[in-house]
Amino acid sequence: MPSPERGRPAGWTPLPKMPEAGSVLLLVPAAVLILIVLASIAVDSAVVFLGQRELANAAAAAARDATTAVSDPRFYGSGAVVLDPGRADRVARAAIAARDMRGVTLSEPVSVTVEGRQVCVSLTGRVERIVARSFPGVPGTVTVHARSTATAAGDPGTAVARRTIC
Amino acid sequence: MVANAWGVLDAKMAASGAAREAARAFVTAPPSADPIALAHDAAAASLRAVGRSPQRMTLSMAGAFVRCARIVATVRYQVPLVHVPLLGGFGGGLTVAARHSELVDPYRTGLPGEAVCAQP
Repeated sequence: MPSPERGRPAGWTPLPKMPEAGSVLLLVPAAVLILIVLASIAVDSAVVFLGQRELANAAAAAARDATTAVSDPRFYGSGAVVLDPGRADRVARAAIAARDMRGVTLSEPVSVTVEGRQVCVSLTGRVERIVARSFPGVPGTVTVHARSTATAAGDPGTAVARRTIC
Repeated sequence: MVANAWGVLDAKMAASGAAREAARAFVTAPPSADPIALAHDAAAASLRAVGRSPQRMTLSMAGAFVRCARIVATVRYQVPLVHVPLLGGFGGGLTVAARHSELVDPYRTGLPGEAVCAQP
């Protein structure tokens, strides 16, 4: 009958039996659970961040498009570059409607403010989390805000305060 | 997984910036220039500026180069499956896409047609 000690160096002594043997059975599931929670936080944060960026890009594009709404009567009457509030509002809304926004849904009406040759577009949207909505007690949506200002060029004589209307 | 997720996120932002630059370059192109070529150059430069390879990008433009037209720039970028620092990316991976639309200025010079969108 072969000896269990065969092949081991002389003087080898076995380790004493560990009284904690088996505790790994509890630690590994706990570690996996922690990793899953951290991964879900990373995924949800990325989704919210992308949604917020999408909203910010939409606001910037709408504000820039709205600066094309120069008031013709004011320009041809006095030479001043002034935005037409009604047209700027329509152009900004059309820009947002033409945009294929993914990952964020507008939750409040689009706000377009015009002052002189400056326009400000403010948007509020809702981003749906992917993982967190499965957990009870955790809000499944996050509200994000974005606003952007644009100023019509071509009238260097008129000073426009920076971001005064936004 | 977190590193790869961030890679996709970063590529999405890079593609978004490239689409914006392409649209801007298109609508502000001189009348005698090829606006699509300028848009492509602007998108590639935007990607290079953030350390991305323009070879992995495809750009498509929709819309006419006339006053009041709405043009749409769509950038698609292939994200490598695995990215190793200093060695680069490997594998086809995912494709992220970003779109940006912009109006051609109704008052700009050098383009044919009337600024119909500027009429009250």
